[in-house]
Amino acid sequence: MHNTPVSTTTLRCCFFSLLSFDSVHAQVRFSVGLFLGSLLVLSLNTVNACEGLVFSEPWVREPPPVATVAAAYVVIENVGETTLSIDSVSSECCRHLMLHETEIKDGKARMNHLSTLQVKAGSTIRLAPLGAHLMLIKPATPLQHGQEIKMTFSCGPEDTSEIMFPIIKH
Amino acid sequence: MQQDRTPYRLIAGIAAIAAIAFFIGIFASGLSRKTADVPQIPGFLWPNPPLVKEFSLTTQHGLEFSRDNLLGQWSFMFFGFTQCPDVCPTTMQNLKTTRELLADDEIYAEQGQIVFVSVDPDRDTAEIITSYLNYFDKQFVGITGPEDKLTELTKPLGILFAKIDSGDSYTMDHSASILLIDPKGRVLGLFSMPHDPKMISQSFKVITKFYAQYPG
Repeated sequence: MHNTPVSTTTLRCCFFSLLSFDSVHAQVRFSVGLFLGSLLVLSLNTVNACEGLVFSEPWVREPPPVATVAAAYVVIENVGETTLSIDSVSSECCRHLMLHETEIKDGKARMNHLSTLQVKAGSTIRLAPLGAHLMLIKPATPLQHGQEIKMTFSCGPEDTSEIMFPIIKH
Repeated sequence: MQQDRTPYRLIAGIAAIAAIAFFIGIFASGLSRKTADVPQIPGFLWPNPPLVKEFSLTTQHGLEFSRDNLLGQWSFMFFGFTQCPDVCPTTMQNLKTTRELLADDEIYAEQGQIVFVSVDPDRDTAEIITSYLNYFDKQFVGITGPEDKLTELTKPLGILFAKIDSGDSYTMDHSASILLIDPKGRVLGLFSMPHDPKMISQSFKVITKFYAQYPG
């Protein structure tokens, strides 16, 4: 684990296993379907999920004062040679943290929960407005522009990296 | 005698056909010219836009807001809710930018309004809507009401919303388009996602200019 005061960080994770299913600790606000993710990852014959992920352009949209939810966005690039998987993201900022994807279908907006986030080798996933995003639910204190939120991305029990997300009024 | 009438019948028939063709030609000519003048904007339906039916909701200031409040106004209308993390704040910001881009537009200055319709009346009280709108733009009008009152507005327009359980809370599915309603209370069309304030503001100018020529 290392701190990342800059906006780009390479995640270094060592090992991905089902043991991580038992490792969700108290501060984890967002837990994805690790078991299903594991099966999927194993079926794709991938290893050591996080090595090679590069995060850039992280930001949180400052929510209106009355909103108890906010969205966070980031660009994730897989510079490795295998499909990589993010199993969970956590932060002490909020009661819950979930990965959602906005779906616009026939003019109607719907938010779908994503259980895991997989990035194929050589590809880039862009969490951006009107698409996939991290949903911050019930922040402990008001989220205001100028602040930063630390989020921990996990690919396994020992495979985590902390990314700083600036809050931006946009 | 019958032989004598034949030329007259023939002439009368030819004259009738010619007259019909003449009027069809005039009609088609006028139609094609009018069709050519109609601004071609995706999502906008001409020439018979649907009317907003009678409805009664309440503004963030506790005042009634009905169809009458749309008459004489050009209204952008969006349906959302305050506990919406992605689509709604993105749209609200785009609407604010649209309004700023129309700052020098005389028609918008005199008749324009932006109406946010909360489809989550259980959580979105007048106080919450007031605070929410003040964050984006104090000029926005916020309205809501009980579900049966909301559907008086939404159902005839095909606007959909639904409560979706999400753990110990819930979220809302909702139409994500921005409606444009003319001063006669007609929904001229909609702007679909993703919204581009520059495109919306330019379209507004084109549409209002056309409307001035063909008020309908």
